[in-house]
Amino acid sequence: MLRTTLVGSYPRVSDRSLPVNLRQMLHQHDRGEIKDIELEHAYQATIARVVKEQEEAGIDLLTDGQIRWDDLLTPLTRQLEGAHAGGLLRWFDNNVYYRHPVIEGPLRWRGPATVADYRVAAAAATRPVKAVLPGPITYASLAEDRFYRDFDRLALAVAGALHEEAQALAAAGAPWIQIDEPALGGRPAAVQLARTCLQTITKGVKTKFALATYFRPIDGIYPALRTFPVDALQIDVMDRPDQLDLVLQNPPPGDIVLGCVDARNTRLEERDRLARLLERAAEKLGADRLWASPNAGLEFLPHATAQHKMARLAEAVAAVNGKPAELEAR
Amino acid sequence: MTLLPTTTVGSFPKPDYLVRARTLHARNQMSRDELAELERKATREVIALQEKLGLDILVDGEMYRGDMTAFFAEQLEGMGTSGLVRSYGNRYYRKPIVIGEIRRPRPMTVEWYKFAQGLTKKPVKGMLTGPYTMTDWSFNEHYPSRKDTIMAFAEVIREEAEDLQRAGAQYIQIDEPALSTRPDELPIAIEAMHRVTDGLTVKTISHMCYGDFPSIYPGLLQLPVDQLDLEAANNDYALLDLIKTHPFTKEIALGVLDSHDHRIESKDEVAAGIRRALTVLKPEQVTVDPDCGLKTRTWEEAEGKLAVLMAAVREVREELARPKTKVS
Repeated sequence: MLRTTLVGSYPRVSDRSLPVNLRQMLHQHDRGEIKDIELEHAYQATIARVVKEQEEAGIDLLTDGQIRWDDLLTPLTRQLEGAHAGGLLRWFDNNVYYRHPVIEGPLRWRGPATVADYRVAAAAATRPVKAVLPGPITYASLAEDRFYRDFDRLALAVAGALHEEAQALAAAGAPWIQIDEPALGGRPAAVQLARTCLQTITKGVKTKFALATYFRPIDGIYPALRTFPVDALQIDVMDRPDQLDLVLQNPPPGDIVLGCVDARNTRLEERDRLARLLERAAEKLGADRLWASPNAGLEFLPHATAQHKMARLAEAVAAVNGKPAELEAR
Repeated sequence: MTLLPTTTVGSFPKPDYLVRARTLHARNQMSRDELAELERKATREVIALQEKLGLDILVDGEMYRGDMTAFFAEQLEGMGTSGLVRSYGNRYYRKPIVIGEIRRPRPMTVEWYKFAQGLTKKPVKGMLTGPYTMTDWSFNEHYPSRKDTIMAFAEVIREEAEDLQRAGAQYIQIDEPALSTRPDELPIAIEAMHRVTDGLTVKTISHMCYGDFPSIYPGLLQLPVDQLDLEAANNDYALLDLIKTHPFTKEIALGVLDSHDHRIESKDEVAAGIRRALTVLKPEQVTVDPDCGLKTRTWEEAEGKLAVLMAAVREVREELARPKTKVS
């Protein structure tokens, strides 16, 4: 059976009226009009809503939507001794910003960054929830390193901290941990370092790991990626259709997550076209190790569009799983 | 023309009364006409401020614009607006969507240009957002490729530039802050800018910021504009090291004030920055301005920063006018 998942982020606010208006509550909290505990409840209610919307759309492996996150890196930065969040920079080729980590001393993990929200999501869900962490190559690439002054040493130090985070997530019951490496495609020289880092992160941690790549092309490093010590590899085949051929010609040994819905454009994919692509991949790779997902986090889209796209993805997968004959007839 | 002419990048802070009026208008509690009257009032104040400071090339301050892409998208045919999309933290915006053939039913900036130019004898720049940035900062549901979208925007921006030139603008600035986000697309951005500027007789400028300049330099020098407006202050003039690797072949508007910092720079640090720039650039090449638009500053900060810029420029101008031995 082909399954569906998301990459991570999900719209926190909506043009529709929602029971909890997180945007307004954050403003009220800034002005001191509501208490910390009220904001905390708003966050938790929003995570629960995001989980419910994924389940209703038919997503199999959920995320917490990264509802509390301002960007991929900052939650980890806050929990690292030796690092602080610096100024805003553009997040890859998106009109979106992130705070770049500034490294001032030896990195030490102070405690879990993502476990609390994993627990909130898991408690609200009837399906499994995947935890998501920034990859060490991406983190080190985007950091301002005033301490190690050595890319490899910084990346390995980040990997050490991520290992502790992964252990905490596994102890909390997370069945999957996804490591996001959007920068890796742009740093082919770091691919062996990335492998070493993943070995550090995953060593002895009893859960499944996925590696997510997006934004940058990975064709140059694909042969190395497919032998990485992970249980699943996520690849963008929407923005970069030629990467599907790479996977089909030389599949990785584990699970494959095809990013086949565009998380950065509002144009809605056609269900049948999506289903044909997935069917072709399933024939070649076997449906049981194949996943379909958007090609990046859905927070680049307005809420209503994100919901439509998620539903479209699930419909296409249902068509492949349930009605192969009908599709062939088209 | 005086050496080291001074200008600004485009936007000025909106006075409090205008911010309040925009909110009321958005809630349908103030008419379009009442808002426009306040926009004109604020524009007069922005022009008066620039004249008082002694700036050489003025801007209208963009009192009537919210976002630099939405302002144009709202006036173009073939464009719609998305729901809320997050930019950072708790800040959201409505991103334009290309939903059909992009057409310009009427001029978009000419009336404001004429109004602002009518208030001063100094030249006022015409201000446009470039085709690459319009594309990069919009969703696209219509054109088959990014290049098609970029070239469609180039067409309407070209029309607008021609209208501005006809209306008497001596300077037209076509901003491309998104330019460095995908270095492999630089050739398309250059081709689109050719469509916008080829054959124009005005001085053309392009501003870009928050970019990864090393990834597009010196290729960026092929962008067909007379002047590139670049930030220097907020990254300690790293740009100058880049210019040492390959000579800068255009005019430059050099950003010497950090537009996103509340702190008002000292005259000495700004003058030192200009002097540093003059070690790798000829004085005739250089216009001096802030790094970026000033709309995120308070009115007082903007005035304070620009006063420092003017004082520093006057100091360096005097040095340049002295006998050669004094100039390092």
